[in-house]
Amino acid sequence: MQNILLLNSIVRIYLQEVIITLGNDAINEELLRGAIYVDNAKDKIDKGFINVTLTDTIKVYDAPHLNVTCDTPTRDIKIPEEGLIIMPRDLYIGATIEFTKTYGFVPILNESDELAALGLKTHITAGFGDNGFEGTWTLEIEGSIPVRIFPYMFIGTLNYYPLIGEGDTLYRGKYFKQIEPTASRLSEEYNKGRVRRKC
Amino acid sequence: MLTTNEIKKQIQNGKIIINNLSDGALKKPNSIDVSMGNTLYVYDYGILDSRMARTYLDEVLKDKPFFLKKIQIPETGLLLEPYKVYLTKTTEEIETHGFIPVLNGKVAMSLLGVSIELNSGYRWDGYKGAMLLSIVATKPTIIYPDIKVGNLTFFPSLEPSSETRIVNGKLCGVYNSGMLSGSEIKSRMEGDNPDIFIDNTEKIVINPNSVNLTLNENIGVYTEQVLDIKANNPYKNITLEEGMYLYPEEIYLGRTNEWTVTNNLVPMMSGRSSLGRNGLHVHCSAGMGSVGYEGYWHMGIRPTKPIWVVKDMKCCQIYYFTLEGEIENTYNGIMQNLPENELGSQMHRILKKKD
Repeated sequence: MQNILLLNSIVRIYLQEVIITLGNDAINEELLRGAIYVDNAKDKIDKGFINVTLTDTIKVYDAPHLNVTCDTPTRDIKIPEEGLIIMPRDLYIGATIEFTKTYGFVPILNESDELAALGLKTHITAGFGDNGFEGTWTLEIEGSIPVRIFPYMFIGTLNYYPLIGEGDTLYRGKYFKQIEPTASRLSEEYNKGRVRRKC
Repeated sequence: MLTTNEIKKQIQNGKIIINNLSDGALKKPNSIDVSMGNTLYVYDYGILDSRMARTYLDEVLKDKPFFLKKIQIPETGLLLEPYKVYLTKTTEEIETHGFIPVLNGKVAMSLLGVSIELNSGYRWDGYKGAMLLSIVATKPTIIYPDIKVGNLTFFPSLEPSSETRIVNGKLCGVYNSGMLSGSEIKSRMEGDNPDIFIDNTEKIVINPNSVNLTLNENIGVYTEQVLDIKANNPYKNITLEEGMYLYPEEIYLGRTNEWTVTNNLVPMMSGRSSLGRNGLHVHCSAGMGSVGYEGYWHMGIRPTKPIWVVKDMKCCQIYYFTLEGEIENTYNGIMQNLPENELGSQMHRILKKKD
């Protein structure tokens, strides 16, 4: 009996220690619970945010004009190690390396003030996420002046707002489970049967 | 989000410290006004290296320009050119203990096509100092020194909750503050005195945690080549019939079809992922609303590349934050109840009030 009690105490102390060393942050708690998932989150938590990084592929639209009712063709560009120059007047679609899943919270993608100092935008007024979203985060990169970007660079942070109210409506939309940099699928909304149409 | 009343309480508690607060900065219901001074930092040369970002940021925050060039904004005004970035920092210096500061731009500047931060408004609990302002103009715009350019909001930094619930089979913490889910938004639209009113309720599309609004056919385009933030910049009305092209280097003044009223919550406008992927901005760093706002949502729309848009398209999403603290006053500012044909920036009225 005494051996079992001793074992119990040891296990309890060990568990307490694990929780304390991972931190008292709410983010850590929710990661442990499984509400929030981000690839390799443990190494990326900083001051209540989770850092995300850019993959090495970028898409650009292969046409001078875009159209909300049809999908403009894109072209893949690999970001070389020596960097890729982002030019103004163009849009570069990237993705985070990190695959994420969020339930019971609203995830938000933010840019850091460091990147803003370069005049670089990493998303176009669309950083708010959805309860139930699963996938990598799409980055819509736009520069005001030419900037050289690098593969696997720090590209932003995620923070989470608790969801208030019933969380039964989950994101199951156009970009669910996306992994690659994904261009707009808006044409689904303008064509019958939610079929996408190429321009 | 904290009400201004709560912000004042926390200032008294010493949990939020703000130096160089300007007169009347605490008049809004859930944010405080922040300003910029008369100094800007600009890049002197061509291609920037993103690995130097931290260095450039420190030069601005510490006022030690080396790679950057320091320029003064004269009282007569300085011309902001498009495809440039102008860096500076807020006059106000903050320090928080238990709160997350978030900087947003002002709608009046957004409707002039001027962003003051690039999705970079979030700081962390424990942030200390002035905040970076990253100013980008869409059209050549004359700016003046010592003006209020942003709204600073605060969110409580949450401790892990002990209460949990299950969402989609996952264990999630239950908290008292955050963002409303779609079901909660729906329930707050019901009853005689709803927290959320959006006209045209039957057609409204409710997402997992936001509401979609649509683009009205009235679009405004400024007629002058150069904008002046002190002037009542004239614009002409275009009716979006079937569709039209939007071009970069132009700022388009649009509004939602839907008239909205928000009580006891803070509404926040954001673009849509599908539009963002097409390079279409629906505001210039200024999506944040105020509790008590009544009106259409005004958008400063600009595209990265030329894009064909159509009438009544779903153009933005509204999210709702809970409020923490006593609501002392509700929004009664310059955007309140604007007539449906009024699309222009009201910045000239704000600046006149100051004089």
